[in-house]
Amino acid sequence: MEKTLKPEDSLSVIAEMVSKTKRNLQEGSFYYLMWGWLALGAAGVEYFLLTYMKSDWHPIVWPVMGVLGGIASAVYSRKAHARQGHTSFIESAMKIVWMAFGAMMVLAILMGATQNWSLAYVLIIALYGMGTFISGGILKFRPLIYGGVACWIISAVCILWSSEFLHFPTMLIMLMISLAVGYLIPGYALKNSEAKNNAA
Amino acid sequence: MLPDLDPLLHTQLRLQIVTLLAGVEDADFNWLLENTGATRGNLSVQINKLKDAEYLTVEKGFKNNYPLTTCKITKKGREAFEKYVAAITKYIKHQQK
Repeated sequence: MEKTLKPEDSLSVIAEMVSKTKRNLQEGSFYYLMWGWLALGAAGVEYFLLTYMKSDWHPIVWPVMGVLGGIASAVYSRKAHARQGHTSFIESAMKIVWMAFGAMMVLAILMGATQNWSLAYVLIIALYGMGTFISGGILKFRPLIYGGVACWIISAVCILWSSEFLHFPTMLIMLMISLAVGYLIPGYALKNSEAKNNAA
Repeated sequence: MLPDLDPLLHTQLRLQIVTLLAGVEDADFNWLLENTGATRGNLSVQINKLKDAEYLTVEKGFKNNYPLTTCKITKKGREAFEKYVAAITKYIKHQQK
């Protein structure tokens, strides 16, 4: 049956449906926490390989981390989409941001492998900052914006005080700090915010 | 003079469908079912009407061996929706005079 509407009924139908699309907040904290802990683990293993094992194979942790994280993200994203039943504009925008981040990471790793690993890490920290800052802007979530700015400050500190910070294994410690402030702290804040939104 | 209201959008369920789809990139049939509260049969009929008018695109596929219907609003559908909202706003303002 087709139910025709009065103008005021139309407006209330539109308002009700708009509120339903707004209520379906995406669950983004999983990605920050998963990638944050995975990268922190990878940096820790690299620090161990470099400091205690004196291995030249220390950068191997990053491709391994990329493959593991990529598989976990793809599986989670597929399940989340099936559960949600729709794709929001925010998710589409975030996908493009993180695809650009992935491409820049590959370039940074190429730069590290062919030129200078310490400088590549400065760029990687700045890239973490860029991804987090843009995501924070899209989601209108301040802790992510602050996390992104913190990563840029850490990156600038490494460049400006290069004699203190721009060498291994100190760079790995700086990377671990940037992962904590850029991913993990905002990731847990986002998780709390999602829990509150879902409870409301 | 008040503008004509698009008869395709001036029914409850079709307006619900188009409003929901205007707020997302794409959505599957079950999500629309859940959010509109319609019956499967009625939702399917109204989606087909909107598809025939080129307000929506409908893709049929499979996910985990279950049929999956994904709907997406078209440019024509979005423009019609925006025009409808503008017309409704004029009607309401006219009534309040």
